[in-house]
Amino acid sequence: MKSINYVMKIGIIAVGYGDFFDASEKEKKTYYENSFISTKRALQEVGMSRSDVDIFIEASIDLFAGRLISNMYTCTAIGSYLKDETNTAEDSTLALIYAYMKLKSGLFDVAVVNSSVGLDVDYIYASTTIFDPFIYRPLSMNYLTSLAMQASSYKSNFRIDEEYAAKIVENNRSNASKNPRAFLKEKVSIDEVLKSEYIIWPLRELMLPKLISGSVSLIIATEDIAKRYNDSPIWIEDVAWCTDGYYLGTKKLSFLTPLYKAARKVYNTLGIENPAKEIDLFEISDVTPYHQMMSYEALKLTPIGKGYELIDKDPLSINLSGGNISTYLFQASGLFRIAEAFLQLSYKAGNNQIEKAEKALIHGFTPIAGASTQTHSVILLGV
Amino acid sequence: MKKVAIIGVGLTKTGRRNDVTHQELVWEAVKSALNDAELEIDDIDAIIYGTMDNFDGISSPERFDSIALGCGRGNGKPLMKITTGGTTGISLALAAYYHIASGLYDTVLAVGVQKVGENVEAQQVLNTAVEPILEKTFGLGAIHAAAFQASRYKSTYKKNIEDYMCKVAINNRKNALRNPFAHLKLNITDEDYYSSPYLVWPLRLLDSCPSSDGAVAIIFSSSEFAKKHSENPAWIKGLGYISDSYWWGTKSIEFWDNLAILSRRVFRMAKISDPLKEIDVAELYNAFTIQEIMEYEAIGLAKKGEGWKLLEEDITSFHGSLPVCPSGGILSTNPIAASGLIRVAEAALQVMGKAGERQIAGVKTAIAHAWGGALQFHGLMVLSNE
Repeated sequence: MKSINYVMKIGIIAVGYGDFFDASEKEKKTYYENSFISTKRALQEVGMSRSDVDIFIEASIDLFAGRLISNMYTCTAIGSYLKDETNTAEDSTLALIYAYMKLKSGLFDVAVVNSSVGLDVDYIYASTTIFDPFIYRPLSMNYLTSLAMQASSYKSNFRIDEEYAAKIVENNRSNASKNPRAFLKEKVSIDEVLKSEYIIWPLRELMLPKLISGSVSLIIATEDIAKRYNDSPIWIEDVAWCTDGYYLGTKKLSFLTPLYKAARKVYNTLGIENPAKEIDLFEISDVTPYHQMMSYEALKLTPIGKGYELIDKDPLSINLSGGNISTYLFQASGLFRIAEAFLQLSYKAGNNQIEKAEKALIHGFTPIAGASTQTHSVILLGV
Repeated sequence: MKKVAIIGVGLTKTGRRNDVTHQELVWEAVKSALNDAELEIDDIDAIIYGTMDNFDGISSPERFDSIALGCGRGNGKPLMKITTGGTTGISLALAAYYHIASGLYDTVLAVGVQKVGENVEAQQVLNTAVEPILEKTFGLGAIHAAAFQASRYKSTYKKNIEDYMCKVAINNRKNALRNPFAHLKLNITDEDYYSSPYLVWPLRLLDSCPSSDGAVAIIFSSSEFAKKHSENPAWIKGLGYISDSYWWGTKSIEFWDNLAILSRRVFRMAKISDPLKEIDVAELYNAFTIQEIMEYEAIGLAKKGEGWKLLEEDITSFHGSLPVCPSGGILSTNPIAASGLIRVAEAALQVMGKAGERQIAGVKTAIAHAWGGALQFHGLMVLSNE
């Protein structure tokens, strides 16, 4: 007989954003000040204090924070003083997944999940040190060159017109123009995207997300506690993630196999046969527009090589948040997408609220090694 | 509390491992753990991985190492990386517990690795962790933090504490002589200790841990899986983690009160009321000799300011009633992010009766501990053969 812990529901009850700013901002905040701000706002949203929280989990990658043991600072800022706390060095969707597992164990009831990102490090340059010193580093590989190789593999394999990638950017930026929480709210046209400079072929300047600084915090709780603080918690229905191998030459670059595997696990667990019909909105990691198309295929929204078909039809609510291209918080982006889906399902999204939204799929991606070892995650939320 | 077991342990040789790449070192540990549990990599549901990148000369080496973790076989696996400084290793063990206790997975492989020899000087790397405006410029690192503890302990509780730190240094190095996986194997005397140079007063070279290359892998499983696949698993009876403020001025320095708070919580969970009597072996994170003495007090083996008495009565030596670090501890082997998980591995081996020459007779309950950050993080796990 299975323990009662297996059936315990876990719900998101509040989200809080820190201050988002780019390199032009003069009054910068440290990443841990921003952790404090976003967590305080999330706690205030439901009238909680840190004493109501059992566990705290951050997502911080030391290399990009510019500090060894970067959670030494954020831990106190988010309220974990003398409490259980840890740090995942991955996309922040995995911090939420870990918090979910800790609550599922039956030992805890309330968790704060936080991810903050600063602008103290040159991310492109830093990522060169991720690659092995024998083969890839001498080629000046960084996460962007690696993603570009994957995009070009996909583009040439399926003969994808550049206009489709530009259209995805246009759609995401158009969504951001309606989202009060997006950082870049100006629309861009397909022409503007196609006239922008190539940064690294086939990726143009307006196809690449611009990193900003910011922080996102979420509060999740076990069912009975969740209902005390929020009349309509948004339930975490299932989670999955998958990491693949390192060498680019040993895998099929034009298909996101780890995302496919994570999605398949969630669909099988929840009995989802037609995700495009059964899920109302999708928040997908558009680390490049080509990767957004590839994600459609891995998530089984279109046949393989036909991701572009979804752009023309666009019957689905995809990246209502505006995506990475409008608000790029690097490893904190996963929590941003979850928070935006939470607001949609809670009917609190504001200007960009859609009418019917009961189920949302959030895709997370740890981008640090580009197309080399990729970690993809899938979280399914429901009302 | 859901039952979770340890069913396989793999340790590597430590020291300077210039004979292997990072990947090869990881695979050495993984293969050893799989052999110990008589499993294949495909039997593993999920992986938890820890390293503190800055010591390795490769950032985010989990990306490079993924092929040594079974992710590169076209299949992929759920892999989660956790980094919490010195506590990283025990954070991996805690994460493995929660992966299984959540009901999501049956078998989880936790892997800790570090090649400290890849960097020029570990203390300079550690200096990049501290507060950049005031503290970094003083060159603050782990040795200084432990020296603050030692000098405060010395002035508050025991003026001749060095005599007992000497005993901790000798006990651990002697224990390491029995451990084929230890880095430093030093048969030292009192005279050696007192002639070793000061690093940061009052800590001498022999009060301090080495910088090691090494890896460890542990296979955790659900109780159902353990009952089918292991004759003598180690069961997790209690676990916990505590996070304190970064700022030095807000913490007690001569007494590790945050560890005392955590120990009471974890021992309540494990139903341990008298740790000195009920624990058979303790694998403590003794990066510096003074810390082992302070840990005795914080986990309730001795009264505040009286940890040295356990050494006077030989209670914590290899043949004492509560041997501490029969492995030789951190004082003999310190692959930083792996060290906390090595404590869990050594405690598990003792409980499973598989510790070889360093086996203590009749071990039923063992504990594993690690500290990290600015003396601010602690993790603790209780293992039992029942």
